[in-house]
Amino acid sequence: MKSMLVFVLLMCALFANTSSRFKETRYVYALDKNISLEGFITFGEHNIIIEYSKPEPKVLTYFEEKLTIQDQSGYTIVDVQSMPSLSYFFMIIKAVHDENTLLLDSFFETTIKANQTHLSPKGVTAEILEEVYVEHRDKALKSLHVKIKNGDRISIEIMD
Amino acid sequence: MKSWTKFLNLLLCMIAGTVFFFYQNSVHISTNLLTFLPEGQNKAVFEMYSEFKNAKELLVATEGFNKESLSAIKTIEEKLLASNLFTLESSIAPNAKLIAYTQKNTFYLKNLTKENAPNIHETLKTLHDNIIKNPYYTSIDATDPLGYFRSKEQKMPMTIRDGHLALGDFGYLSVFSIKESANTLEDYEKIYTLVHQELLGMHNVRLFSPIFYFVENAKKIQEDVTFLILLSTALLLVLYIFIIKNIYLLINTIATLATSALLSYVLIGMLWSEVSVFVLAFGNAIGTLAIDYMFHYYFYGHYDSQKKFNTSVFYGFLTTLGGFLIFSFVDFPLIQQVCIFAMISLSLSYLQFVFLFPRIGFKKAQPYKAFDISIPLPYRSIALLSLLAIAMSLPFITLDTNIKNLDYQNIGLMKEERFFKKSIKKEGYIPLLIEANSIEQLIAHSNTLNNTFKNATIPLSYFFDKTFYEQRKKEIEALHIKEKKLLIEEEATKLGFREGFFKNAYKEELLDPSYQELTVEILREMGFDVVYKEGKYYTFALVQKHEKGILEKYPFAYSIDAQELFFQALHSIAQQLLIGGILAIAFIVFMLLMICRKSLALSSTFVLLPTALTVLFFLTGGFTIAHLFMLFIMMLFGIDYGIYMSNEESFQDGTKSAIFFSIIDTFAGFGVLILSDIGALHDMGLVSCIATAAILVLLMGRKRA
Repeated sequence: MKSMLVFVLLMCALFANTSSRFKETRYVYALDKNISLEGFITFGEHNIIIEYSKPEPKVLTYFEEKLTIQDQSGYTIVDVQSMPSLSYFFMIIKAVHDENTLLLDSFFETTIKANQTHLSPKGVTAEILEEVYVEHRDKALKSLHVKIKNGDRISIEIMD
Repeated sequence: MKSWTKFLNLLLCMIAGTVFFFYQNSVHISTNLLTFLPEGQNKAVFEMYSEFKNAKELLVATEGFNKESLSAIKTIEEKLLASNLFTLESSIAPNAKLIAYTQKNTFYLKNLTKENAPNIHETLKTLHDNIIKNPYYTSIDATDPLGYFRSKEQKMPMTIRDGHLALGDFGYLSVFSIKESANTLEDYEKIYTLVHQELLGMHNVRLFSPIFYFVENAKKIQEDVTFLILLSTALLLVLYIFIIKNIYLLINTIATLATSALLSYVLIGMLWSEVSVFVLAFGNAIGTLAIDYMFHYYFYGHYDSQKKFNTSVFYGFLTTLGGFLIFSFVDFPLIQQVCIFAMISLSLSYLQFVFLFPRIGFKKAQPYKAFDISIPLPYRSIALLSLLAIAMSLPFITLDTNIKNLDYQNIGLMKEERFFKKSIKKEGYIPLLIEANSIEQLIAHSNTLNNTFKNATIPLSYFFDKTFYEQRKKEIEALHIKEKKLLIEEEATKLGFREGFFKNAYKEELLDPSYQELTVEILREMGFDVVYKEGKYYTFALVQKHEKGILEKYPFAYSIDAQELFFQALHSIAQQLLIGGILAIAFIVFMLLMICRKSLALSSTFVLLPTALTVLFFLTGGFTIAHLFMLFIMMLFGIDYGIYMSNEESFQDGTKSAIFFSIIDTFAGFGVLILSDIGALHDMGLVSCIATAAILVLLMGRKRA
């Protein structure tokens, strides 16, 4: 539990207040293909804003379990609750940012090895996720890796 | 007078006390108004609903979506679950049995799109593009790539925030069901205390359970009734000491009233398994009516010297007894209990005051001259005006059949109930009970209603019955999906999908699963609320209140609308009460003609004026059946005074004091009920105050020379 708290505090140093530039790689098992995206992530008091600059400019705003997508063609709203994988993805990011160890402990078993924290899903989470790795360097987050049960993977690397 | 006669009355009281002491525990006092409603299908359905988890749930919410709030709700969950009295219903963890069933029957549980055959290439290309182009992570269902099967729309979806159930914008929510074995008021009290103890000191927490009404209302009603009984007893004691001025007579009178009340209570307990707490409050007041017989006998000097039988008192007793007898036929256990209690109590008191007390002998006290007020009153004009007022007002009187106006108004709890209902969007919905002869039929009925009521929540409509299974099977066969599998794999590979990615698409076991018979046990294990009772299966649903009218077409569905149930019951009670009232009025007229023919105008005013004033008071509305019942009772009281006052002696000697005292003590007995927070008792108190005040004024008058 203590180690979890230390880990979360470290994570916070990255996500607090300002935007962070990141690179996201999605491995799609169905296509056996990597998709690369780049952008900025900002944590507000009640929301998360992801601004993609590559492959094309799009802004994602996560607020109260709803995801608003803004691009050149306008706005689209997606109910995250109808997509379990996406829902967990945002939950993890938000829990890490909010230092919500209680929330993370409800869904994962945590193991810390050197600079790497391993989150092993339990209960309902285990139905969707395979495992989650969080890497950090010094007091900053380096990367986040999420393995999904269907073979897909999402990796986020902080560029700054 | 033999010495043992002196103690006979006290001996009787001791015997009654002993009988009461040994029997009291077998009499169950109830504060629940529902128990005393007439038996019928509506009541049976209402009682059946109480067996469902939904009727006994406990809702707890912590304010805010932050770490503190989440920590608080988790702590509450841990504490309450540790007591083994609750089951957590709001866990978002899927039910393993339900998952297995859903996976096996997925193509039968979803909606089937039978429109034009999808273009395989186009459909797969859209899937491919979505994965590549969607800015958010998108996964695909490899078992149904052509999208034939779509999940059913969730009509009342749960809101989940941070992996926990949420109550609108308020905060985190936990829903507990109370263990099935907890059904009595004692169980509810235990749960109530436990929950409040566990939550002690926790801030920003709101909670509600329908069972809290039973606990809080019972406590409040008991406190209220105890207060009324104590107040009334104290007032009456002071009054009796002041009036009777003979301690020995006072002790004997109290002994008589206690004997009558205790034996009536025991006899009522033998007739009914549950006795309403209201009977206790009313029964105490009945004693003030019985003591009137003693006043008359005492002040007329019957206990001092041998006198002829007092016919005025006898007729007074007879009319009251007759009135209660008439109303005891009203099919409402609460009124029946009150009437039977009154009849037994009055009869026992009358027998003792009239036949035993003269044998014991008591010295007559000097009458109070101060109470012998006499002002000339035009009784004939009062009678005519009262009659006119009644005739003109009656068409405008409407009966308030809202039972809640008779019960204790637990405003605090009602506020909490509204808060939760509003937030979980249950406001405006009423529960529905669905009845069937088998689980198959129960599922079929649930689906029938689900197709009719677009906004209803019918949990069992998640499943399908055998008829649907056969039909879906044919529909799937008609789509020739199996023949498309090869083409799907070919097209998918061409588009860049991993080879064999769709090998599990439209598998035989999903297209044609074996039909699984469901049982009460299986459904319960899957988390569904189903009850089997006396050969019938029941489940529940929620429908919008305004759609309730459509239910008439479905004889297997019963709405659980407490207001409607009480409305119907009170409507039939009101009708019977009116018939009883008409009979009572006929009885009063008969008694007036028989006994008071010479003083018809004078005697009738004692019935007409209280009635007229009460009717005028309620011209603006709010006239409940408790008012109506008490009005009829006060009419019967009134006729007693009419009979007493028809006796010439009443105007000549100090015995008018007896009549004065009897109305003052009636006021102390019934009038205090006006202080009650319980609608029914307050209403009775109000009418008795109006009526006794009117009678008191009439008693001050005398016939014009």
